[in-house]
Amino acid sequence: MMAEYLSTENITKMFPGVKAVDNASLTFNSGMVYSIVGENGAGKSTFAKILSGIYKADMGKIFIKGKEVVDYNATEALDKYKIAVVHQDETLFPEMSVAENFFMEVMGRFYKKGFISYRELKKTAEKSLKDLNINVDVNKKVKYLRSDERKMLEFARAIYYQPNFLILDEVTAPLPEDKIEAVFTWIKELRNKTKVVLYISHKLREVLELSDEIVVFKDGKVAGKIHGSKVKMDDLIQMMVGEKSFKAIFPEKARTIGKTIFKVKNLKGRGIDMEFENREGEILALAGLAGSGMKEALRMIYGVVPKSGDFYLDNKKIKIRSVKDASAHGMVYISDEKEAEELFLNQSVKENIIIPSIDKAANKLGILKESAVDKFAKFIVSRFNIKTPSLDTLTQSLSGGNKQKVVVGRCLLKNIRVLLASNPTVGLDIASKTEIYNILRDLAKKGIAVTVYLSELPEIVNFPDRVLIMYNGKIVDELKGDEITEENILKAYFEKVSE
Amino acid sequence: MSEKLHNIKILLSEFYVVFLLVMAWLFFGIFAPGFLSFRNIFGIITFSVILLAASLAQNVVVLTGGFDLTVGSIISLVTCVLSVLMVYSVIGSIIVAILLGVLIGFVNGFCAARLKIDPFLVTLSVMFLIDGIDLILRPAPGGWIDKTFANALLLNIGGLNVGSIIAFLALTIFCVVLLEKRHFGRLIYAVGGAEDRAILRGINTQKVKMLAYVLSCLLCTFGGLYMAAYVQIGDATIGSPILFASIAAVLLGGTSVSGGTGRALNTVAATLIISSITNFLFYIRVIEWWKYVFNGALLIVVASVYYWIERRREK
Repeated sequence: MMAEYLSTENITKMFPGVKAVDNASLTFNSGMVYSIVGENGAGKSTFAKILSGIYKADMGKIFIKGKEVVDYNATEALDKYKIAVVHQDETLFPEMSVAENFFMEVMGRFYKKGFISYRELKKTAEKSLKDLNINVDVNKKVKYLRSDERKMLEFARAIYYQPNFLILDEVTAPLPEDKIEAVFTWIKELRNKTKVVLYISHKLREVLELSDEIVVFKDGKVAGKIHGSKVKMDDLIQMMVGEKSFKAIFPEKARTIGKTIFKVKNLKGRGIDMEFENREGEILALAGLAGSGMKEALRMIYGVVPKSGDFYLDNKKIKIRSVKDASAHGMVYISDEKEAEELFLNQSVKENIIIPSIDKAANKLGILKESAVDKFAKFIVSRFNIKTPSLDTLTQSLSGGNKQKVVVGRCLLKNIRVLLASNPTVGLDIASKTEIYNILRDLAKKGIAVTVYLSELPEIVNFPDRVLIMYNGKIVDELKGDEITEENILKAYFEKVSE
Repeated sequence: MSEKLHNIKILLSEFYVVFLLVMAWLFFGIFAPGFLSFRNIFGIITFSVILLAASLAQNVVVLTGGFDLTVGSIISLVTCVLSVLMVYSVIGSIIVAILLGVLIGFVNGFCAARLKIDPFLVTLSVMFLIDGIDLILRPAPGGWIDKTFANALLLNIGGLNVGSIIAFLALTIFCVVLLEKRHFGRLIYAVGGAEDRAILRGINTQKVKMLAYVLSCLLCTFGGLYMAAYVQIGDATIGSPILFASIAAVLLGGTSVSGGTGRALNTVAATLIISSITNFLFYIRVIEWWKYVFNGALLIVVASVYYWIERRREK
């Protein structure tokens, strides 16, 4: 008989206009790993924030070890009830050091004669990180860390508090495969120590691998509970979205591949040395362990980072010295840090759609024609099924998937020839991912050279027509057609590392 | 050895406003012999103590991502309150002044942090309100400030205000230690740097901001006591120019207006730079009206040098 650690009874949370969580009653037993799956906006993160004391539920009760607990805040959740959480959104302060970030909310514990002892602070942080085999310099400011390093730091923080109940909300999104492996080991260790782990993720493969019990959220309600070992991926997707099956997530691969459109030769700089070509109708993927240079290579080609190399578009040599040059040759780059780099969040959807091709909507005097803007925006919104209340809605209120659809979809207005994308579907739910894949596939069919850096295995297997595996800034392997299997990809990743 | 060099480099890059101050002093010293005399530098520091209190106060609030436009008015208020009430009780009037400071800070903080009204608007309104009260209390400069009170604060020994120096050092140490070595100080940086993240960490961001405003007003009250000791009358408008000087000091000190970055010691150095400019113009006997022109021009020069260094530092 397993002991119950935490249970909820009819938890309900209202946000203006929506019930984010609707009557959620769940029981969590010690020594188990639970997963919550569901589309974006299904209420998973809100539920996690209620359990961890960030939000207060409007209705319902929470019991810990059978006793009702009322109105606790995040500090109490951590100290009294041992509920720790790694949020989907980052909670690190970029201008502060790793050590300070580690203990920001409890620095008072490191007082020596009334003052913070940074020595003690660093020592403890260093030790905690070392225990988990995480290699980061505790003196470094967090803004200089890579996104996977930052996530691992957040992890180490949560585990430091020795939680009885650990909530992990979409934590593996920025992590490379080898780090995910490590995270899984910790989760399993916690389970062996009779702790509860609540794992929230879009990545169903991970959910299936880890969970003792899977809870499906749909529109804020608990739509089902399934025993982890008895469920198949297809069934799970069915429960979440209703109809689609796993294969249906990805568009069909290219039947015919034409002549070379875009060619990169002798690309050199910042430890990168590579060449490749992208053919008509083909989706080309770059893949590899994080830090192997996929993203950097794309940014270099696009002119964000200086480099040397020769570039050919339709067999003609072109010069790309800056983003401006790249753009003039019809190149577009879509990044994974979309909010920071590509959208003007406090401007409307239609303004964001029109910005890259603003000339099209202006008259001879350079004055914008409102009607033309509306026309173009309406076309893109309906073509790509972007869910927005109106064209004038501020972009910040769109969901992550719809924001990304704006970024990718608006490329259609420009006469683009080359599309470079870095992890374009990271953090999106299945429905949005599918739509992004379809858009990219459509663009490829129209004769645009599409090169994407992908980090999730199922994507790499099912989406591109050809995969270039990178290690240490160089292409070490090429897979095409039936060769693109999970096994082959992982083999290519790790064989090179061990060499 | 190389580690030592590295540490010095870090020190230079963190506290370069301090080095800017040294550069400014050397520059002024060349043009105005005698500027660098012990007596003159001592004078600049004692002269700066009121502005320092206001600048450090402003700095605390700006670090949270806010603004405090009441700093000058509070200094005036303290002189007015003391000049009216000191005839009845010296200690009593000081207590009233401090309580008023706390109250204003609380109002500012409550409106800005709790009601989430734009801090600029909040403190601007409160500034008008205090200015009005100042004028009601003291329509024209005057009143009586206790001589023993003034002497106790200034501690004039042989023509040097030793008390001001002590206060200057005390303010500096207090703010540096509070911001760098105490949990509350670090929370100010956290809240100002990324409030949404702080909330996810379970940090009570409203409380931190509220306390920052209260602290700001308390520091200004302290500055007001020194102002009263210096001028020995109550004056409803005497603090007004300090507001802009305090903002200039905070920005020159490298504190980001969006909050979260900036060191107190740099604010201190920036305050001294601003006071030194005034002093330098006095020293070279610039005619009254031209002072303002030169003051502005010199500030632009210093700021240009500052931003030039900063940009190079970022690279």
